[in-house]
Amino acid sequence: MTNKYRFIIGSDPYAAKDDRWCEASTLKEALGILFSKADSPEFLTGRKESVFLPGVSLPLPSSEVIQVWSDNPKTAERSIAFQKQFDKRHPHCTSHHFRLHPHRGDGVDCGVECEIPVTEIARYRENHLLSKALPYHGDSDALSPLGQLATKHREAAIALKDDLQRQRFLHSISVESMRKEEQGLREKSSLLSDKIHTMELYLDGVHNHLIIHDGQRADHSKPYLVFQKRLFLDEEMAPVLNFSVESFDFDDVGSAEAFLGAPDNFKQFLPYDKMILVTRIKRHEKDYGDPFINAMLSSVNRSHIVWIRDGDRVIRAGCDISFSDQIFPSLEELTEREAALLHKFYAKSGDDYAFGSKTPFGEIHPDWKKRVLPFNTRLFSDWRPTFNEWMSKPQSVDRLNAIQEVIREYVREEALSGQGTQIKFLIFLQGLADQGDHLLSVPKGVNLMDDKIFLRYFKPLAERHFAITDPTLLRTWDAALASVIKGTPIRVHMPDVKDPLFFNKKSFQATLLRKSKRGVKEWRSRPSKVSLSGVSWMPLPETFDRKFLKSLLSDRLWKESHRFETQIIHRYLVDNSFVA
Amino acid sequence: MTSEASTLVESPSPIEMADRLMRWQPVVTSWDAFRRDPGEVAALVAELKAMGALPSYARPHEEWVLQQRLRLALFKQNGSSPAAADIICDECGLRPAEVFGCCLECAEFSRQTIDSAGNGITHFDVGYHLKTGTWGLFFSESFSGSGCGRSEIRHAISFGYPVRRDAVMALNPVVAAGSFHRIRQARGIYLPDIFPLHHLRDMTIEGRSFSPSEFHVWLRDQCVMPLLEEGYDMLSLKDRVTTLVQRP
Repeated sequence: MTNKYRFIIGSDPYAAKDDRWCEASTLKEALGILFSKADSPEFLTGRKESVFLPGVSLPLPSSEVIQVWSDNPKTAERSIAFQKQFDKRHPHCTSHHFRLHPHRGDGVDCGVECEIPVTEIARYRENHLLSKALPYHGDSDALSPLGQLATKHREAAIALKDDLQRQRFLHSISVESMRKEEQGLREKSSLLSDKIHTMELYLDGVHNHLIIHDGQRADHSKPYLVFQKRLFLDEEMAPVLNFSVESFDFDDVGSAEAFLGAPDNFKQFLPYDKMILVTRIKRHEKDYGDPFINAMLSSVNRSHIVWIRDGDRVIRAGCDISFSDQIFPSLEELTEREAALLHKFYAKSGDDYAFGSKTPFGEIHPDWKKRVLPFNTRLFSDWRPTFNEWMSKPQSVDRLNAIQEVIREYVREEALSGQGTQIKFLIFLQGLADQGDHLLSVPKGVNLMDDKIFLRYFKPLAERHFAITDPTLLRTWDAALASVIKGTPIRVHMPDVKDPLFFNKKSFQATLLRKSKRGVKEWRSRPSKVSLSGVSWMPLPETFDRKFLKSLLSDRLWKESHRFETQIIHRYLVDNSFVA
Repeated sequence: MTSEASTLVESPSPIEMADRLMRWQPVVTSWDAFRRDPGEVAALVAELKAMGALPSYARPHEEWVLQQRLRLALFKQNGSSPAAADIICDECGLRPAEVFGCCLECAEFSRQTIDSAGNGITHFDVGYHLKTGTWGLFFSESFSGSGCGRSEIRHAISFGYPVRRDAVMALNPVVAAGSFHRIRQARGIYLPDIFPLHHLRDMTIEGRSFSPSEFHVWLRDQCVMPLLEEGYDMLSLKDRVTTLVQRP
């Protein structure tokens, strides 16, 4: 009786599962079984712990051989001898490398029986398969009746499935064509509705206007001053008509018209001889006590009225345009927006890293890397170029240009999207000039869409607030006139930078007018309570309050805001009797 | 006229440039000569110092060669040699091991090339193709956690290389592209990943395989030409590649 041993292939026998082992009496038999049993024996290449066993290993790279292990005592002894010899020579290596523990996991020793080159696997596989193959029974194609029926059914099923698939395909094609047709129709209808809306705009002022006061008209050679600031009728009219601002709504527009019918009154409201002013009826929404009614009536309260004064003639025209706060925005804003965008992308100085700040977490110790990190650690920040390094590369110039172009396009798109109302307003004015019976003192048929012709008859007055009468200031505002935007390219009128007070004025304008959305009245009444770190104090007397505010704001700002208030008061309340 | 002609001849087409790059061979040093005479210790140290302290990704291959020569010289100074350990190189099975179970020839080759890459799930390596009896490039992806234990798909992307070393060398542009993208990521440029190994995954799904020449063309189009189009300095990249793929 011959002894049977257990065999396995692969570089890591101890981690392998039991089903990979096989029992055989000879090595040849074992190889036949092992190489046929494994699904892909060619991937089991390599030597355990990359150790070349002299006398056993083949003179080939470890990636080209497959190790065969067995629990044959002779093989195990050989392996143990090699291990001992190795340990003696390299005592420092035994604990870490070259672990060739010669046991199978259940106490039985084993070792490397031999090594097989990968290129010779096929030989062992073929032999094994041939010995186990079934005998061949001839070449008839005959099928049993059941088999014939099954094949027939199968063919029919396949044909049916094919037909179904074909019909689905045809159906999807027709659906797609219909979808495209529908899309085209939708585009056409939207185009048509746009055209209709344009026509409505064009005729809006002609059909929906009222001459409040008629009289002698102004000089025809002078242009209309178009006020750039959109005003709110409730805030303008309520103090004069003894209404409260909250209660004023569209129903009171009639009384406002009646008030403006008197020449002394409309000359205060519309101070220039030839001018155009746009007002919204109400700034905030009014509460009528019912949400549905609120929704209906607030849409009316949100509508706009265009006031046109020509000498003693005053016209009120309805207008279906939703204006923004500025009628024709100045392009300073656009350039500022571009600068802000650029600031995001670029570093402040050349030594900063491109696309980000150098010390994002604030001040840190200069030697923190040495203290915290191991010596061979590289940080991502070490790889990152500084802005100057990045700019010094030739290809980065193109990238920079590309980025700048993207930013410019973005800003231009934003500007064009904001132009919608301006172009609508132009259409509205064009309709008044063409169709209206001398409503505007503009000759019929002129093309107001051309900005040069437009500027001959209309002068956009960049008077951001309504109360400035100081001629020196007005001159500077005139220098900063907004241009009429019509398509591309955008024309920029920069203000006179040689003016020494330019930046002061600009900052004043930015702080007082652009950022604060509060009304003039609220300047005084708002800060009645000061809270610091959760502790709230009692409201202080008004004198102290004003002093406190005065110390916070600069002198210039304070003076301007004060003058602003007093002028408003002097405009509407001439006798000054209501002021204490 | 002649100058124009010369410039025309000198400037190759992008495809030619890519081919020239892909024909790159690793540096082979004649180690037998250095084993006999590695040089003076002091001179070698001075030469190493003259190279200066460079960051590890910018070290040239010559520095590594000098370091090995210095080791050999120190062995010689002590009257011994690395071959005295009596371990045979695992890579070739012929020469005595000198560097961590490996001879200097094999170490030099393997530190300049790569034969496998992958994250935890997908893996790419060189292996033996049993059906054709040739060497090939394999892509494998393992799955687990779907209730049926751990399973693995393994697919030969290309086969037909007569020797294993040919298959390893065919992968060289992939290495270059990989390190290129790694450098870009380290620089903070996070673009969508176009590492070509991800396209190889699609090939396993389609069940296609390339011949070596087809694989060469595919690699050229997929990962070498885009780099050339970006204007990246591939020749200087080569040095970085060899050092980025360092092995112990």
